[in-house]
Amino acid sequence: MMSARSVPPLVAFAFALLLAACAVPRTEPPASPASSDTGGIDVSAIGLRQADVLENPPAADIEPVTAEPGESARRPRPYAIAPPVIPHSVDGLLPITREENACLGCHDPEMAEDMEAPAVPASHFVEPGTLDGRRWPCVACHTPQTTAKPLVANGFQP
Amino acid sequence: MSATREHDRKGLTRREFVVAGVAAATAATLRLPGYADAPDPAQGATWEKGVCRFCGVGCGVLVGVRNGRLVAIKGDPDNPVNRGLLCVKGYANAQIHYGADRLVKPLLRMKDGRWHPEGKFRPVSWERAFDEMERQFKRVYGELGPTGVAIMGSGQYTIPEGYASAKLVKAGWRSNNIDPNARHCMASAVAGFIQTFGIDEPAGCYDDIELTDTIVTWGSNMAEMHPMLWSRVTAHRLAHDHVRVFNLTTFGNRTSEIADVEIVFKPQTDLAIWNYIAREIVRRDAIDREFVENHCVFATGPTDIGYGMRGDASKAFEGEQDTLAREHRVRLTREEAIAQGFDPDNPPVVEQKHRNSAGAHWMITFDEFKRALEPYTLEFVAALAKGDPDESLESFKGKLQALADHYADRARKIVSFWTMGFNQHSRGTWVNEQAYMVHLLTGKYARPGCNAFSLTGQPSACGTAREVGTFAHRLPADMVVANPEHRKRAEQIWRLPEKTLNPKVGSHITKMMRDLEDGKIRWLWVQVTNPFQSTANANHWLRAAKERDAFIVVSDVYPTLSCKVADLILPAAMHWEKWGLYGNTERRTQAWRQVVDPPGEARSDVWQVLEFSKRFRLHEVWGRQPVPGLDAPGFEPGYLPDVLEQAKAMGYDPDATLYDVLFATPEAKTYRWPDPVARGHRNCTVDAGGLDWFPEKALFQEYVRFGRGHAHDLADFDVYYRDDVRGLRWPVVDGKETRWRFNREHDPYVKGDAPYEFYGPALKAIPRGNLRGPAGPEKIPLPGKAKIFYRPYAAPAEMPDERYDLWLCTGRVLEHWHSGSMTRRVPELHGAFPAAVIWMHPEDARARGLGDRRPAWVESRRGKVRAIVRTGGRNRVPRGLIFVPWFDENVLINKVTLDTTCPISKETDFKKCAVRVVPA
Amino acid sequence: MASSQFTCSGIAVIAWPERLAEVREALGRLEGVEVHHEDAASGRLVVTQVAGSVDEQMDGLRRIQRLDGVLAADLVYHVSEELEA
Repeated sequence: MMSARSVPPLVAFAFALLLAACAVPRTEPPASPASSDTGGIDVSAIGLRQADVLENPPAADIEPVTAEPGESARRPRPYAIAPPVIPHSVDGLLPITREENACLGCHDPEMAEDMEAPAVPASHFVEPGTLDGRRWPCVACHTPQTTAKPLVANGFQP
Repeated sequence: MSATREHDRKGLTRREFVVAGVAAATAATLRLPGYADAPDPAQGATWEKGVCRFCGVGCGVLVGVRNGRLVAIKGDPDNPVNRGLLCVKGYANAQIHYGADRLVKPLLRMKDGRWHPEGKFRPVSWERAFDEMERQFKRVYGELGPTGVAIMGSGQYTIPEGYASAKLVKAGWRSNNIDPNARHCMASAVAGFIQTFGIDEPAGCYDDIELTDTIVTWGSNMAEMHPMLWSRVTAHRLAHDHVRVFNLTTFGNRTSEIADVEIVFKPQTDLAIWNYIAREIVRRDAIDREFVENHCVFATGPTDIGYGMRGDASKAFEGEQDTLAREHRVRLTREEAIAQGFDPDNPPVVEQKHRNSAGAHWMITFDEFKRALEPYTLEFVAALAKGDPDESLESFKGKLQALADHYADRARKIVSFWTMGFNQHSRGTWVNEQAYMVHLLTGKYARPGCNAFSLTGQPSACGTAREVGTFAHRLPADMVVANPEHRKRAEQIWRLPEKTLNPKVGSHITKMMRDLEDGKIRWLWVQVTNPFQSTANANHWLRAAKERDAFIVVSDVYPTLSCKVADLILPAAMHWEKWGLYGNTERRTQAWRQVVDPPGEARSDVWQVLEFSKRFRLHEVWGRQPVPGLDAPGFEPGYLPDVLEQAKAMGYDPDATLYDVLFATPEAKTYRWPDPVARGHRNCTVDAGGLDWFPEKALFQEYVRFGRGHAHDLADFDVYYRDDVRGLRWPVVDGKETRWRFNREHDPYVKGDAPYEFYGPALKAIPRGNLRGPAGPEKIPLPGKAKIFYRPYAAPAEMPDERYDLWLCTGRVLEHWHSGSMTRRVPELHGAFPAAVIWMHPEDARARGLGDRRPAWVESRRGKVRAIVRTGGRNRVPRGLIFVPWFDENVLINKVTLDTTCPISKETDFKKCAVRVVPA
Repeated sequence: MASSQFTCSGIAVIAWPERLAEVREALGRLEGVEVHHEDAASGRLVVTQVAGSVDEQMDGLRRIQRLDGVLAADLVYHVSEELEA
């Protein structure tokens, strides 16, 4: 069985080069030295837009996640202390106003166990029972999601 | 590691070997297993302090680094700005570096081995890239001189980057064609400061939030755009029952949800509302007489100033002609006639005679001021300004009265915050001045809890663009190219021969696009900005870039929309990959060290500027140069003189390069590398240049000489890197920062006994006059005074009519920064908001055969784009108005917007034009 | 002796974690595509794709991206050789 330690020399060298360049994955294949004019990257292949700049691409939809609170799994976080995204629909739960914060209805530590929701952590409290007022607008850090696929892969690793 | 096929090693073909190797390499690159099992980043990671890459709040960030990679982000608990909190974008400060399509090699359009404007992009060496840049530059410079070349810069430049670019353009190429995207962001705020106080930037600081009784947000969706400041406002409001928050906006948004009072007004009627408030303050005798008499004068200026649109219609699209005609001649609306003292039944047609002298102003008496305010009664202003057709007039009036109550109440401290609603405004300078008008009338300024606080959009529009002066008319530390004393001072610090610097103001960023279209600028270097997505009326500029004989270079980290119309793309190092300093909204300069290496051949912008400067010898740029229209005392009309003789006398060799003369000077080289302040961190500029000196530090240390002693004092470079420092608010005098300027108790620059001194030097001698004009040329000096401006209501250049029946307002959303080039490559941010939408009132949608999530065209006289409609969500637009964010390059809303600017500041009004919306 | 162009890409595929098995099956059915490794927790798969030309690689990549259950697929590595038949 082939393993990483016994790759052929050509591949190993190229692999080492790739790692040396901080191992950032790239989408465009490196230009092959043998090619002449058939190489070269067309402008439609770079960036987040395929259409010509003077055209007008069709409208892209935004499909929010439809799972109700309690019916969705936690999403993996990009790194351990990143604020988790909201994996459930927020239909009817926003806005957060001066008087109302529907998030706390399930996520307040006093309720969370019964509601089977992740509890707002201690870091968000000035002392037990007293939320830090700066943390009141939850959606400044925790964002509801859509079903959109990433446009470009991201090589970030924790 | 599990493979889905077993192999007998001896039987493997060449193919199978290669496939297995590629699989192994790919797996190793991804460093599986996945996130959930990742070790706690605090173990084995080192934490470095720095600033967030995004908005003007300037939150302190700690970045976790392990094995040469960024692995985590946390808010810096020791930073007073945000005390450990970040918004969702702030938490992505590491991830933004790792999008798979980072630019890692210069890319040049080529055909048959040579540059070709329609060629495909091919990777080339840096040497080859600069060869082409140099060849193209010298071709254009040889034909057109300094006005034919330009740099579009940025409020996201670090301080050393902006300083290096500005010096190269102004001292090297003798051009003033450097202007930042901050022109689109803060220019009106700057003009408002300079006109009113004679010096740039806010008097107060963020401390005002916790010290005030009242917070008013005007044209500022702070909840989404300055989230960590908003969290401080929210906390303050929730903790104190007496605090009141007002949100003045053209549509309901998240800021309204926390506010006590939401006031939805019609676009541009902010001008009228301020005058109503001022009128109330006068009427109720709520003026702080002592403050006004001792520290202020009253002033006004011309009203026939046009809209900053093109003066000649030759390049206009057919459909644009009617709007463009208002640049020269305007029939006032009924409301304008009332506001400006004309007969409303017979509004005059006014020739716009002061288009090119819009900033002129003169003193008026208090009685004149009072008289001018007369028309702005509650009745008049409420009827004019009410923005929600479904709100009753009574309700709206009640809110305006409440607002006036809060400003007028002597016992109430109040802070007004504003951002793009005021700045991106065809009378942006006026409305900034009006904010000061009310705060100065009531003496609620430059003291704790009382501030008229212009919020900066970008992370270093203050620290770099404004303070360094990377503008077509500026030099560092608030100096201007048109002032001979200022030029002399800059020439001294920069060791240039007299008359090296060009006194003629260059092209502002919108004008650069127009010059591109006109063939007047034929070489353009875009740095740290995405102007072909961010400039209004984009169809013109996209066409110009594609069709014109112009060489366009874009330095960026990702392939942006602007890259697509470029001839050459240069890969830049990103935030944590280079040394840098930023200055935020509250004048806090903050610093970070490089913590990881840039990928591939990406290089810092400082390195790029320094390296390119090696391509120019003095005799190529310091000879006699044509500058069409140059008309300044001591200069031959239309020309900059040859300064080579004087250069020789100063000891310069005419064959010396601009690198030698401007950057690698003997003094710069005294800042050695390695430097103890680096603590072993690398410097990609030093690495790429093989240097033994420290460019970022040398540039900064030279730059600070401009501001010291001139109320712009910065500390030494090393001070900002100390462990116990989290930035310092300038002026930094005797090691101490300044929290409230112009206030004797807090500002060391206030010399006299008076409690306040508005010591800013600019525009402090103006003539006397009346509401109709100046009385004569004699200028009266006004040392230490601020100006209370009367400015009238003026209608926008383009308003909804039968054909284009809706207002279009544009702006941002929380999750995306600017043109989305960084945030759209972060999965959580893209996942939250994957495409731009058209927020529309459900009834407006229904009436047009549309509904929630149905696709529609937004069309103006200038262009059209498609997006889906949203009739719900975070923004509640009134009937008659739509809102579209600009982060999505597939919904290039700037094709639709109008390139009208404030005629004084030259900042584009992105907040109002006329559109129609139809099903797509 | 005829020779042909042989290209091989290493592609990082990110699938919705709960649809990993489905995506793995679908990838396995694609011509020239092999799944070498997967991680259930993060939904990532390491895939190689063998094809003739670079154009075919790009077409194949787009085909993978369009699969149901696939969040993203990106080219991480690429090798191109002339091989004797």
